[in-house]
Amino acid sequence: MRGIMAGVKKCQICGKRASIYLTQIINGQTSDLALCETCAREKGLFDPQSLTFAEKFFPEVFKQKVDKLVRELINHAEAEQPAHTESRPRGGDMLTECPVCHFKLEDFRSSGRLGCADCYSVFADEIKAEAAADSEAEAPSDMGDAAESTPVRRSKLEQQLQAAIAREDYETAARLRDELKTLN
Amino acid sequence: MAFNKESILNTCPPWFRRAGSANDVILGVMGRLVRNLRGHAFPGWSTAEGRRAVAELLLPAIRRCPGFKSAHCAEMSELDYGMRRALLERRQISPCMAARQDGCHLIISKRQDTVVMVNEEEHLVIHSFNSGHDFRALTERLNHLPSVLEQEFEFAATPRNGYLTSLPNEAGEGVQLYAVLHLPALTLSNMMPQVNRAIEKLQLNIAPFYPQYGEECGNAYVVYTAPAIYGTMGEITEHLRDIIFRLAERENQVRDRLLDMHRLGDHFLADRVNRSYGLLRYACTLSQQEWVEAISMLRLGVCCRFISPTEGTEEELLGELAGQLIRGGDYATGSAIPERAYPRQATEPEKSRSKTIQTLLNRTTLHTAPGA
Repeated sequence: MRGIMAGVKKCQICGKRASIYLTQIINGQTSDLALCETCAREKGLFDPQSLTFAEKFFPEVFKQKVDKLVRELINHAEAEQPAHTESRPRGGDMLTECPVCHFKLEDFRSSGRLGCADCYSVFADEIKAEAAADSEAEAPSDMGDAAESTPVRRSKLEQQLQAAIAREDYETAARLRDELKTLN
Repeated sequence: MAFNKESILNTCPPWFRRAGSANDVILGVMGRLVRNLRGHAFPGWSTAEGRRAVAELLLPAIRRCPGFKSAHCAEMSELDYGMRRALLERRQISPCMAARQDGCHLIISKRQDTVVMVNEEEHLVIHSFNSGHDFRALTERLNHLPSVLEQEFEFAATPRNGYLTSLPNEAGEGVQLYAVLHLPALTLSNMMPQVNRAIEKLQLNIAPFYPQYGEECGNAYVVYTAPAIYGTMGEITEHLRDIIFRLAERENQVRDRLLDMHRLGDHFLADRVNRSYGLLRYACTLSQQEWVEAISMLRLGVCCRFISPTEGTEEELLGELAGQLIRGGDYATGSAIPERAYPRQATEPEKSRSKTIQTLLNRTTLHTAPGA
C-alpha cells in the first residue's frame, strides 16, 4: 500500500508534480521536458482557452518557444556548480550526485526515492522543496488557482461542483457553490 | 531452520483462527515497521553484492533473537511463483518483496505471526499480525526485534527526520498500523462513501481487503495509518484505535437499525443472509469471490442471531468465520480459479472450501426470525 506515486515525474523548473510532457527530437538528439501546469503557462507553452490541441503542438511559434526553453534548461544544467550556497535557484548549486552512493539528483526527481541515508543531507534542499510542493498541492486552493482567469476558474468550479453532486459529497458541493457565488 | 513450504501453507496461522474473537467488527490488526542500516545504500539502489553484505550482517543477528531460532528462512530466489503468490495473498509479504531475487531474505516465525523481510524496499521490514484489536501485543512484537538489533547495529535516523527510509516522505516513526474491519451493515446501507471521506479527513486511509474483486467484496476493509504520520508509536496506535472503535460503534448502530426494519416487516437483511446460507449449503462449486461474499453474510447472520451454533459458543463460530473471511477460501491458487461454465470438475481450492462449508454448516442452525 505504499509507493503508489513512485515514477511520477517532477517539473524541471519548480519540482512540483509534472502534468505536461514534451519530447523533442532534433537531428536524432532527444530532449525531454516535464513541466507542471503553472510553469508551462508562465513559459507561454500552455493556454487551454486559446489554443486547440493541434495548435498547441504544431505552429512554428510554439516550436520556437519549446526550442528556447530546452536550450535554457540545457545551459542551466551545464552551468551548475558543485559548491553549496544558501541562495540558489532549485537544482542550481546543489550537489547533483551523492558522494557516498552516487545516487543522482535527477533520479530523485524522477522516482521520488533516495539512494542512501547520506542522500538526506546531500539533497536536503530538494527534499524540503518537494515536501513544500506536496503540501501546497494538497492545500484546498493553490497558486495555480489564484493565477487563473475568472472564466477558467468558474468553469473548473462548475465541473468540480457537478462531480461533488454526482458522488453525493454535499459538504464539498456547498463550499464550491459558495465559491461560485463569490466569483459571480 | 530451512524454509518448509508445506508446513507454512498447510498450517493456519493462529491469528487467522482466533481472528475477530474479541470484537464483531474488528477482525484483526497488522503492523509494518521499517529500519535501514547506516552506511549502506538502500536496497532499491544498491547492487546484489551490497544487498548480500547487508543480509550477511542482519541474518545471523536475527536468527539469534528469541522467537526466531526455529523460524523459516529462505532467500527470495529460492521461492517459486506459487509460494510467492500464496505469501502475498496471506499478506505475509509485500508486493515489492514478492518481486525480489538475490540478496533478499524472508524469515517467518514458527507461529507465523511475524515476518521479517531483509532488503525489501528498506533493509529491515517487519510485518506482524494479531487477532482482534490487541494493539499492545502487536506493537510489542513489532518493537521486539529492532530493540534487540539496535544494540548491535546503528539504524539510519536523524533527530529531525526520525528513521530514514528510501522514500523521504515516509521517514519518521517507521511504523504503519492496519486494522481489518468487517462492515457489512454500513456497506449494505450504502454508507461507505461517507465513511471513506470521514477517514481521509482524519489522516487515515481505507482500502478494500480484496481489491481484486472490487471495492466492497466480502464487506472487509483495511483502515491504516500513513507511513510518516507524526507522533510516537503510542499516539499512532491510540489514534487508529479510537477511529476503528467509532467505526465499529457506527456499524453496530446500523446493524440494529436493519434488525428493527426486519421486525417491522422489511426482510432485506434476512433475505441476504438466507441466500448466502443457501448458496453455501447447496452450491456445488464456489469461486473465491462468491465464497468471501457468502461467508461475510453468514457472519453477519450470526452477529444478528439469524444463525446460531449447534455446538460450541457463538464467539467461537464468529472467530472461525472471521478467520475464513480473512483467509479468503484458500491460499495460492484461490484467486486464480478460471471462470468456467457449469458442469465442470471442481478445482482443489473449491473442494477444500466445500469441505470447510460442510463442517461450518453442520455446526449452525438457521432461524427464520432473529434472536430465536
